[in-house]
Amino acid sequence: MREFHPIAVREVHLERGLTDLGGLEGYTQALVVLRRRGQPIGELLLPVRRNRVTARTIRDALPECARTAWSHLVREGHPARISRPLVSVVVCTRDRAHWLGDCLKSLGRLTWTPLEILVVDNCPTTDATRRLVEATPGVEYLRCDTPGLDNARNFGGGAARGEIVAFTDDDARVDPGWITALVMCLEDPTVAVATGVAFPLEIETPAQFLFEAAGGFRRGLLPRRLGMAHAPWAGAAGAGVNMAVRKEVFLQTGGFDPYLDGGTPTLSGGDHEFFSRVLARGHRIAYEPSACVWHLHRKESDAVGKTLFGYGVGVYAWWTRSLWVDREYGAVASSVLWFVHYHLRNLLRVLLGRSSPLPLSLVLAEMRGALWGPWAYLRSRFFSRL
Amino acid sequence: MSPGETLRTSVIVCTHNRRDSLRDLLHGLAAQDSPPGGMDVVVAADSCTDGTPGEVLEAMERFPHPLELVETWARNAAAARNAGARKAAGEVLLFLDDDMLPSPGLVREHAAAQRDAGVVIGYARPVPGADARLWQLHARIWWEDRFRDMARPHHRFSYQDLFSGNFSIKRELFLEAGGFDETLGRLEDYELGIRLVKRNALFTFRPGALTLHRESGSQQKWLQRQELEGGTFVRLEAMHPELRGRFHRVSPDGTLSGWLRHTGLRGGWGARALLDILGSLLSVFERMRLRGLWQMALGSAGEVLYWRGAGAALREEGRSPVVSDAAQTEGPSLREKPILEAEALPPGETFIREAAEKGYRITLSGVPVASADPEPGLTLCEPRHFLFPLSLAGYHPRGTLPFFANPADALPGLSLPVEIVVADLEKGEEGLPSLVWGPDMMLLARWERYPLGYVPLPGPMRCERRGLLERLLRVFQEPLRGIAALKLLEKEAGRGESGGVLLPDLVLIRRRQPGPGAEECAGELEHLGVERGKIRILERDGPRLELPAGAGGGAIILMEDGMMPEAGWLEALLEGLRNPDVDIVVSQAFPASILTGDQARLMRSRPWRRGPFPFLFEERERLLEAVPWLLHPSAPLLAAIRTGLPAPDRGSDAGHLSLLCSSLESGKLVRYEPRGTLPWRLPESDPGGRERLAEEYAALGRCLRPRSTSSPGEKTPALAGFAWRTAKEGVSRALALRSLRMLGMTLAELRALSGRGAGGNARRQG
Repeated sequence: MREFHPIAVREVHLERGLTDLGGLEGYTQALVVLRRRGQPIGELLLPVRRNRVTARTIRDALPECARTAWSHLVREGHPARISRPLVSVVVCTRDRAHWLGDCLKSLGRLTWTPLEILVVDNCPTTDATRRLVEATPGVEYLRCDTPGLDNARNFGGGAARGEIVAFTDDDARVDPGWITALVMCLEDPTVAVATGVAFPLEIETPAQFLFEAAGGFRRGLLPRRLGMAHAPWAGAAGAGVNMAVRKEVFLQTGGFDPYLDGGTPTLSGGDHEFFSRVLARGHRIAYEPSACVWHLHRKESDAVGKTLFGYGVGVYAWWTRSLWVDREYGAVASSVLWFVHYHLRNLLRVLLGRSSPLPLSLVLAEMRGALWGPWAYLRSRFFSRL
Repeated sequence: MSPGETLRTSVIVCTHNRRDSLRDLLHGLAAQDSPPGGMDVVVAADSCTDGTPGEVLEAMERFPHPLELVETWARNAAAARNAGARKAAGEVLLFLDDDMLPSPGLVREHAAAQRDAGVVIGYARPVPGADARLWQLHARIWWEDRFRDMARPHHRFSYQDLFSGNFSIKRELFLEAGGFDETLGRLEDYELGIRLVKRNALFTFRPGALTLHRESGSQQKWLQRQELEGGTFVRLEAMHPELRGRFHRVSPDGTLSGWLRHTGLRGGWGARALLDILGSLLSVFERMRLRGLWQMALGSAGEVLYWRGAGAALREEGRSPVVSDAAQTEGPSLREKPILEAEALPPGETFIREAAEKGYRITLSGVPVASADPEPGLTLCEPRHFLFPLSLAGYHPRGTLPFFANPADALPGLSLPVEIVVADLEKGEEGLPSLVWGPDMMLLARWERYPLGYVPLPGPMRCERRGLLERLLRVFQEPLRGIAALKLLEKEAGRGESGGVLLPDLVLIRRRQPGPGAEECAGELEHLGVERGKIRILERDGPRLELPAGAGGGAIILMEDGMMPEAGWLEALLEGLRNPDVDIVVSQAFPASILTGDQARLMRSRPWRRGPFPFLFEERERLLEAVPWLLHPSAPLLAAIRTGLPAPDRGSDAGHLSLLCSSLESGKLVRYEPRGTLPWRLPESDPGGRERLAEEYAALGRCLRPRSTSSPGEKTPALAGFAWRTAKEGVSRALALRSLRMLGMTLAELRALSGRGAGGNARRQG
């Protein structure tokens, strides 16, 4: 890994014409999200020279977007008809009013109507969140006193009145067209869950850079659909920071597993486990890159290690639950394959000195998480206070 | 008929021993919101032994609309439906299956849509029960996809869209067409669809004409049906010879699917044993919830059964039970097809008529992005059908060719010597080389100099010139679509600063082997308009060259002997320098021929940059990843550098690379330009070449030394081992060891260094 320099994150709208991006003092690189008629068609890491990224350089990088642009061009020809169901947006939070404020502001700019916004305050220690929500018009405050992110999600999902329930996190900012893009996917009756892309809001600290380097919330810019064969690999669908589900399917599948995700020993994995159960029920999941949110990665230097450890735990805890509760034997194969193809391969790359996005400590953190995952789930299920 | 008037509709329900679901269906029909006198119902009960007729007679008393019962004993749905239709009095016949649950507006929707269409297909929405098994879930997706396709505005209806479970047709049209065929026994709806398409009937889909479809099928029944359908399609082929070859997608021989086809067609114990195995696998996979494997097994079993049925029917007809993919490679010639520029939509009436007859091709910014053959089983074209049918035209079963990104991968199957010839597809048939009987060759397909890929053409294949262009356009459809999209993006982004034609200040031709190669290359350059005085030949061990210290406006081209410059090449290579942040443009030469086994081996060991698109290197690490394909004994120098940069040391590979690295470190960018590619004659033998190569790699190791500004955390051992790996993976271990020795290191030292991290590296620098 090279020396860290902050990376500027900028949006460029193609139809407004390409101009030089200025004001990039202190940056050596810029992550340019190129959008065409609102749809992101390219995520370009471009060099900053003399404090700017020239229009010419952006133009020279256009070929990298050609394939993605094609898939958007084709879709332009037949826009799906859109009905206007009521959508409920659920934001689960816990004592992070300072971040939630910006999130609520971005939710206020959503172009979709009819809309209801629910903030689920999970076991708060202060009333800052309540005061903030009460001061924001059009946002409803719910209080969930059972700890755990998945409990909060289930609480919010249960209280939602909309036909579609969208979830995002308090540390994310949503795009004005976010809901519209998700609803467009759910027009297809076979699709029960729609997910989208999460770009980084900023890359200012090494921790934020490493989180992106480790994959972040990256699932590419091409739309994708997952079917029931993908149930053990549902992680490819996206993440809980950007998802919408039909309320009917949410109730039918029983919602999120309360023994998983934040607030339990398993730390994460609740969203992926839910996706895999949705797929197993014969529904599809659509990944739609034009539904985008911007996520504020954690800045503290020790955060990445913890986050990656948590991801390691969450993935294997999810597979443990799949095998234990749902008798999904595919989870055995996927966990072994993933361990060999991802964790061991990353470890070998680092040890052999090949170019690797992650340093050894983070690879080991994720691996430790992976080994701890199954026990974390069993512990969460049988020995926790729940 | 006045526009407000609704057509009288006769609902014809064909049923066979399903009393309970028929009762629900009749309840649904009784609750229709169509006006009194607007509908009547005929139940055609075929060979029912469960008291269905009694049930219908009982319902008659309370039924709000006229209800009639027809009993047949034919065990044949087509016959029962025809009998029902004969009894029906309405102007519109609405056919329903007995497992449908109609929505209250069903009849009204059909009657309304019938005003401007001949055939209306309703939405039979599948509802799997709570205890649905894997097969029901799978079937639901299949049905929903089918209806969703039909709901798209650009959908062109085919005979396969006629689904007898929920569709309506004008009585007159039905009778004119002759009703359902009673001899077929299965797929009578498809067969009726073929006849209706031939009569140019207008098809439409109405999502509002909704029935809920309780999937009554099962995996076992579906599999049995596959076998029956295989046989039926063979009979359909005999009835409609113009559709021969359109019914089934024949996958190529040599694939798993091709093998399943052959096994099925042969039938006998082989197919039986395979089906037994697949049957047990299906139940094991379902129990273990291995859905991906289950889907594969189900598809395979279906395929074997389908072809077993087809094989049996072929034998019955006295035809040979062999179906090969060879029959499908013939496509209509491209020259006859009308071309539609996508920006000129919608097309005119003459075009549409011609397109329905001959097929068509769609271009975007002049790049062909989709083509269609005439399809006898499809309804007539309409303007809306040209609004990007592109997403659906992604797969072409017919006329495929093998193609590769790396010329070395295309070598198996060809015998040496192999000539590599360029086919410039944008020039049409004139751009193709003349193909006469001769030794094997390989085609490099390009579009406006963007390299698309390599296609092996063994001697015998070269005679089939007809349709070659069409096939090339099809196999390279994906990169062509990328090029079309890129052109559109560039247009939308606005023109970059254009300026005049850039001309090189100097062209340096490095001599790699003795002979007139360098002089020939210089001669070609003169033809392209480069002044003789600007061309210098760099001798292998000649003195270091003094380069002109221009003001940064011009460029110096670095190339090697044996390259054959072409018109348009110089402009493509130099275009990248229009970006003032780019100082160097590199490209990749391809071999003009592969004559000897040595050359073939050399080519095989050379990694190849894939894809037709240029890109920017913005940092050293990314450039280092490219070293294996930029720096290799079979990768000659081909680059343009901005005048004013220091000259590369004697034009060696390592000197070249150090130039690239220092340029990147000084904040400039390097562009890879695939359009700058040129054919290059590989040296047949290179005495002392290995020794020099080892030197090159050693020099490479030296110039890859980490920057002096490296921070303690940097992973410098990765750089130290880079030359070693490049040499070992690119050429051979022995060569890598020799280059290490030249660096004054042993392998053990290198390993220790890699293990020790930054400290070890610092020692090495000292």
